[in-house]
Amino acid sequence: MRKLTALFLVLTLAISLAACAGNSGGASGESAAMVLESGEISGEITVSCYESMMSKAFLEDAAKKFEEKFPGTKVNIETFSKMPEIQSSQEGGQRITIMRQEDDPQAKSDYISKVNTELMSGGGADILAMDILPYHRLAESGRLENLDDFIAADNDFNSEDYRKNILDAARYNDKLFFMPSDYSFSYFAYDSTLINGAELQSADAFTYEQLLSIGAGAFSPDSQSKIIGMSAYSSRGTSLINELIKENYDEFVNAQDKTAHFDDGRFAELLELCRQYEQDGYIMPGVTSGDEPIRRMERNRDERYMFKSKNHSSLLQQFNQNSGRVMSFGGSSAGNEEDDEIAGMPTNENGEVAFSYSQGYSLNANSQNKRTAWEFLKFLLSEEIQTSSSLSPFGLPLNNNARAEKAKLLVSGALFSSRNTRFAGVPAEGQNAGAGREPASSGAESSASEGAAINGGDGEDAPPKQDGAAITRSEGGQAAEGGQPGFFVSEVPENIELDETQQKVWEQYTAQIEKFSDMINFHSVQDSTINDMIAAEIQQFFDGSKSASDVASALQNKVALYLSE
Amino acid sequence: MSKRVPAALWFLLPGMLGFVVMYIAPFFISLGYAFVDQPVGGVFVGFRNFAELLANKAYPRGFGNTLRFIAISVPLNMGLSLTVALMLNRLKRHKELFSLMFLIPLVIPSGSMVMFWNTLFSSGGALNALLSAMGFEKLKWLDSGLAVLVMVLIFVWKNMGYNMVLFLSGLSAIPKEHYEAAWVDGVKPWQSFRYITFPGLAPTFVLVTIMSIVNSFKVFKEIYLITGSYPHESIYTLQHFMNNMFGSLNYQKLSTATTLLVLVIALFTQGLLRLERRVSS
Repeated sequence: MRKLTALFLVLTLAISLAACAGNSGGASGESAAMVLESGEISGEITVSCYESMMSKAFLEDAAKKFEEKFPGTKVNIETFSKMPEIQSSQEGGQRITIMRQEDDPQAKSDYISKVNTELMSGGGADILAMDILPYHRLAESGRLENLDDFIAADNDFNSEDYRKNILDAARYNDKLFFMPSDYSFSYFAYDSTLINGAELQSADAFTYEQLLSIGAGAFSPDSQSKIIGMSAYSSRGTSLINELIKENYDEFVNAQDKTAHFDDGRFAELLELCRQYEQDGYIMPGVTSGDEPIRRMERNRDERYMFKSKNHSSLLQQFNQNSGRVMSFGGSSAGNEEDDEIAGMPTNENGEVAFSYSQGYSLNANSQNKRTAWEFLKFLLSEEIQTSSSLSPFGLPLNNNARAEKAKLLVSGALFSSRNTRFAGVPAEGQNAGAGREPASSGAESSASEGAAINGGDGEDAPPKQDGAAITRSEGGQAAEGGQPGFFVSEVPENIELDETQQKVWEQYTAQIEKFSDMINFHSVQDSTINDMIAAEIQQFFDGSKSASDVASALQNKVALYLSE
Repeated sequence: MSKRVPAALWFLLPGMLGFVVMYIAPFFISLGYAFVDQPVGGVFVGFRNFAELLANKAYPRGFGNTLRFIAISVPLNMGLSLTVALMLNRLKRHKELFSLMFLIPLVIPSGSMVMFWNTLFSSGGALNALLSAMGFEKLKWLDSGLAVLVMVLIFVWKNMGYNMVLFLSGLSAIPKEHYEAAWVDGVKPWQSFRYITFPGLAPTFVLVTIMSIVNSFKVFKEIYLITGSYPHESIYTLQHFMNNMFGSLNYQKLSTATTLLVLVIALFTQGLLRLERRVSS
């Protein structure tokens, strides 16, 4: 028996050693410069991305163009999430198209596990999209290439073409692990009939509490206007408590020291503050049940709010009021936008102004074909692709020239298939832009991506067939010539000529965009585990089962434990 | 005899091969991960992972909590199940019915019971409702130090039947003649317990201890379903740590923690077996 056991152990030891020996030859120490010099642009690469609604068409379009440019390459695109459901209805002269994508936390965690397993076993797609993946974790475990090395080694890549402050903000530990292909931000606007603009001239950026205190001066309980058109709490979508937590996130979680400070009193204070504002009528009451998006939009359209947080796309409307074209990108918190003026950017006590992105790309350190992968990444950021119609129109392209061109398309209205298009509820990443901290992924908050376009009237440049055709194309799941299903044209006109008014609008619009973009200096590293913990606990406060101090101490316990692991 | 052994070996071989390849070999390979710095293409780093693990703040807490839980719940469980077994042994009628009552908690699926535990112990739950109806303050059962009591309760409730059955079979193995001889000699009940029952149960004791410790690790299932991945720090056990490491793909810490655990359990079991050999001889 002893001999049998001994034989047994020797056998297993032999197998284990053989397996270990096989694995240890994996690490390659190629530097970026070596990759660029020695590699050829050929072969097959894979791009993996979770979000399908906007990215699938875009990536496939880019892949085709890349394969034409470099024959001998093949780019495979893998997207994971289900395509959104599209409903359309006709009311009066209006056609309403709703594209709704529900948040599916299970599918998201399945995707993250799948990618993680592939990476840990030495494989994985060559290019990874960082829409929901925790890039800081992957970066820390060395799974992603530092793109700074590639940028430095590649003469073709001109950093001047891209917004430097965005790239700086996207760095983690001074290394660039992903490149956002577009960025977006939100800004504050105020209703000029309710607030005197002079009070806001002193600063370019405001915190929520500053706005609330300015608004409190002008607030009267009799009038129906709330100071901010946001709910105190919402289980879906943005709410004031989420914004306040994001603003003050640094106080609560210190990622460097791995400590949590929820029970210092500030967190409980914020919860109580939100409740106080709700009771004073400054903001809307908390919402715990989901509501039909269209009805919410309709209801809020006529409300007047003193301050509102708007996506940067609304800046266009600011300058475009006389062109006869109605294009509104407001979320349901924007209310009546007729008298809106620009207030400034959201910030926090540390002066951080954040941006968010809808898509960013990283290079897998395990990739077998880094030369081609890097070339494709560059291609995705090139002016040609960034101007294409299939890039999400809700983001600002990172490439400076492309940004200017896209602005021209927006101003001239060439992007949209109908004359009057009103958007309500931009995709989640736009909606959740707030001061201080931004969710790094479109799913960090538990809100659904809703894009609803109300195409009003049949103008001369939009025959009804086109709308119908657009929807039919998208129902097939693939837009044949690229382009976003349902709302936008598929082919972008080559040279846009702007008339005089349009030229002026364009200049003002781009000046404002650039001014605000220059203020961006920050991108937060979101930890979805901590966010989920916070979301679960504050829900218990707002439905009354726990007190603020209980919630704070429970969170302190959980987050401290999590960080100390 | 040497002619019979080879034949047995051939019959064992297929099963053993499968067992080795699918279970034992991966086990040793994952133990090997504890000594490299990356699962794929890693470099041998000796005991650095162990040093980092011990310096980590969550691991010693998890380890300490696990030990504390075992120290409280295993003796309690054994004591209670021994008492019940002794009582059941005396029963003339309905012995099976009572045994069944204690065995039922073992077979109820954990997932179904979790809803019940939640209803009982959550902040807005039944126990708190009772307390506030009686005029006392509500207690935070799951969010404070009381969570340990809840965990012990769940463990004892579920596993008492298991140990009870083991003790019952151990008790039935003690020859009745010893008791009759003692009775004839006029021995008191507690003396007969101490000198006959207790030594007679020694092998069963070792078995029950080992099985109790193994089962105490399984209580993680219910606790995880009730309180999630990050419970109150007093019930944060090793299994929580390992589960979270697995989820965050930190395979180094995971396999290091596992290696340490295997070492501790192996040493402990060896010690127990040696003790048993000494006592029963």
